Amino acid sequence: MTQSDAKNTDKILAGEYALGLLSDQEKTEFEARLETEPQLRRYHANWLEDFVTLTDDIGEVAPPVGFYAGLEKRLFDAPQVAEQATQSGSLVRFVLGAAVAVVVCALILVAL
Amino acid sequence: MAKTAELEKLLEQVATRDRDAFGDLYALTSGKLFGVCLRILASRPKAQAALWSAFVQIWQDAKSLQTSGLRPMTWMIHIAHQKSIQRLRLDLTDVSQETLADEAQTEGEWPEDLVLKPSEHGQLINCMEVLPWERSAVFRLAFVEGETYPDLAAHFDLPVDTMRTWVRQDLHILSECLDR
Repeated sequence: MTQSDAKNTDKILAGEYALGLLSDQEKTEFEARLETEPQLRRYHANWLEDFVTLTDDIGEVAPPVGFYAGLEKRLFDAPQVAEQATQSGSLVRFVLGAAVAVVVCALILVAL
Repeated sequence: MAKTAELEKLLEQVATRDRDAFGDLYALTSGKLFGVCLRILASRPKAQAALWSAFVQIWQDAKSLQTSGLRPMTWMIHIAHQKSIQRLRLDLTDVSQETLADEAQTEGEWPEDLVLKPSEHGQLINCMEVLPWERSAVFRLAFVEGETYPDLAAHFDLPVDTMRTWVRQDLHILSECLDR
């Protein structure tokens, strides 16, 4: 295969990938190559920019009210919950530490 | 009107975990993305689940826009498209409960003035005109409706190998026409 043939084959392959026509195995192989081959990424990006124009006539449809609130909750609340858990963990450690200190002080006093 | 530069800026901010920017990006693009998901999946619960996954990925991967070489709207439509196709092919039925709960709610109002900028790349449509009608339809059926080679072959009552040959020949013609 000449270099020009290989280039054409890759262009066509990138087109089939952009169209979603590759089999699972072909897709996995192509995606592995995409990671390391900038030229292949360019072919793919060019096809996508072209094929995406096929969606130009698809009208906008508003997602339901509350959809964004749900998304926000899912994306933004989780770390806060983790943060609160960490904070409450610190509080527990602080209370336990203080309790130990009190017991130690009491034992010292009793010993005296 | 959402301009490419505006969306790029918002996505840059989203990449730095700017929640307000994510909200603005959602307001500007969710209508188009939901339209794409609905077109592919033809089911509101499934389209909502795909849209959900798409926005989760947009939030998590906003940084990768810069290396993708794509315009922001193409990048986002690509993600919504991929999530929809995955769902279509797996025929997932385990749509998240949260998403299903949203289905019961009434539709939101989409501001009329937020019309997304039409793509500047009208060249593909012109190039597709050189193909016989049924062969240009193949590209719409594959990209927009998510049809596979076996689906397309059944659609046109042709062997799968013939279908594959058609597509490859036509991709070559389009590639020449688009001067790639």
